[in-house]
Amino acid sequence: MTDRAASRILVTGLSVAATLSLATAMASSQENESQPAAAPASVEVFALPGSVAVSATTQPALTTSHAS
Amino acid sequence: MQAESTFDAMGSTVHLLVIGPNAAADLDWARARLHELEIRWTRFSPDSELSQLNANAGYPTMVSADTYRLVDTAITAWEQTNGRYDPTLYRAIINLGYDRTFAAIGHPARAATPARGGAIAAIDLNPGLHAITLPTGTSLDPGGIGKGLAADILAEELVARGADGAMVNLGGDIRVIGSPPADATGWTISVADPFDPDQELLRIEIPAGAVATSSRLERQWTNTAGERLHHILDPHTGEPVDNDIAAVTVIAGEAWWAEALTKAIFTNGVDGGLDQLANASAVIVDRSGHRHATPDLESALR
Repeated sequence: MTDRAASRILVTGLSVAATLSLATAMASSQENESQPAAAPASVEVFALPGSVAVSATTQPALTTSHAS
Repeated sequence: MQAESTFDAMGSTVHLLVIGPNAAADLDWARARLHELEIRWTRFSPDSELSQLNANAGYPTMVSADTYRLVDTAITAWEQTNGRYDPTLYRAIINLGYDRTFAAIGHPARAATPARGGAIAAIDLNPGLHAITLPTGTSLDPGGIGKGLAADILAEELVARGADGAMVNLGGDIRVIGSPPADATGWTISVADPFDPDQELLRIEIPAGAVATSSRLERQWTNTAGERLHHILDPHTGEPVDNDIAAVTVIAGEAWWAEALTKAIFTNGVDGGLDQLANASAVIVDRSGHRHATPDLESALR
């Protein structure tokens, strides 16, 4: 299996998870409000493995990102 | 020990920082390695591997491992963004007049016939031979993803050579890896305000990862008809994106992916752009100057 095929499977898994999460949230909302709800929508999610923990800082920056 | 250098390459300002026992030598190596990638990937030289690949469309072309990785990565980015990043807009950008280095662009004419992307799904890759066959009529312009991937390659290879840590900033596409400088708890990165680059939009600290920024306010030109154009194209039209976004910054694990996501968000517009991210953070600055950030970045806005 190529790396690209493997990453596609991983991303598909994440997308499915995101869609299921949305469907669960919508179903929960429907129960709470006792009102008809629209069918769960499929969300287009761009995802690859490898999250980054980001924090705000006041320390001096080592470098700057700017458009070029 | 650390070594640092700023110089011009790939049409941009480059900022390198290496931490490790052989930092000075590693810095020299990185500069030479970047020069090698630029020679292979520039679309402004007919002798580059990318130009040779485009000229040989319809037939297999054997390329270096670097160029094979570039094309494979560009296809992956196209797949993962559902085509919102498209590396086959080469003819579209040429037709709009961006057919030479940006420093030399002047006031070009627009071609009479607009062009759109090529047949990216039909590109054939042979990993055993490092051979690539572009469909006839398809040409590649990896755009900013080339700088992003170059930043990734340099950072990863610096650590493989023995560096403790490295920061590679290629014209705003940044990759950090390994240990930060001794007096720092992480890699601190500033993002410039797209409307006033002397001011900060954002300042963050990350343990590792990448930052990329795309803006319609940079690389603009006026053609002979007086049209003001820019370099971020909509894959659906082959024309410069014309929506409510001025600039996008994305933080992700690798720089090529951060760069591809900036283009995907750009073509989406402000509404919904941030909702489509997983494992990534972003801030959009709209054309009115308003900021729209993922929740984890709100406290880092300046």
